[in-house]
Amino acid sequence: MQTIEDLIEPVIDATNEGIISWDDDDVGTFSTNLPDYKISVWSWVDEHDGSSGISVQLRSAGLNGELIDSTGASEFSTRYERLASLLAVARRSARNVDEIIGLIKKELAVLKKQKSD
Amino acid sequence: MTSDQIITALFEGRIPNIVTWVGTVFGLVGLLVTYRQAVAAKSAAERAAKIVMEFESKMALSRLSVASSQFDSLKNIIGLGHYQVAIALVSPLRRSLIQATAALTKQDDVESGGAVATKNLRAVERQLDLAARGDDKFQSSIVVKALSGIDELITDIETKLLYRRGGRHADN
Repeated sequence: MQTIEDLIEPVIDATNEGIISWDDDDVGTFSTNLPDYKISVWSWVDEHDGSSGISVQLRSAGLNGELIDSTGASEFSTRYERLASLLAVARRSARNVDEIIGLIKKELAVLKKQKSD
Repeated sequence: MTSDQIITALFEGRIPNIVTWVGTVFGLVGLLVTYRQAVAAKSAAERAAKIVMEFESKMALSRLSVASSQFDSLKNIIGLGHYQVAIALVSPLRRSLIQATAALTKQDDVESGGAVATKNLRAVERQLDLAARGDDKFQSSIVVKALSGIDELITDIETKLLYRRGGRHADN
């Protein structure tokens, strides 16, 4: 039986290829909206012992979309690195890291030119 | 063929043609032999690589069974509250787990197994040290989570090694 974990690699690839993009809801949850579904990923800290983890949810589209599948892993789990990779690409997409890096490179080039002139 | 006929044939270009054809035939035969040797060498190399992989898998399974029994002992000792003894068991377990994961490759998708073992056992060690000293900072839930991650890792490695050898779990 397939689970949401089978979606992680294809979703990471689709994000890296620019096929899908992610939004930041300002409370640390990153979401991508597909035509019929919504995938969300976020990190959390266990207040009891201070350990951290990452969760991923798949819901049907809409404001109160039905929960279809979810997974989570604490920092001690063997699955943590995979979920951390998804969180990292989602964060980069939501915060336009590609665009910002491009702009900074241009600014640096301008500054370099100004100094040499 | 008389010497005159040979000289005539040489100048008329018949012998060079024959030599060229003979050379071409030998060349083709040589290529065929080289190709067959290359195929034989490739299959011998593949057989050797397969034997090495099977040997490594068997060694890894053996190390994993050692790690598994060390892990059970560690859990029992922690359960009994003998934290100093438990600390002494962590290093051999870490070594066995790293050796067991070393046989796995990136294709097996457990490439970070050694890192998980190291990280989790470091957390267990730190917490056991706190527990042994009766420090209030001791968090039993961290020990439970870290041990649960090790349990997960042992199952992952076992599954990958069995899968590689063509086996499967009875419940699959």
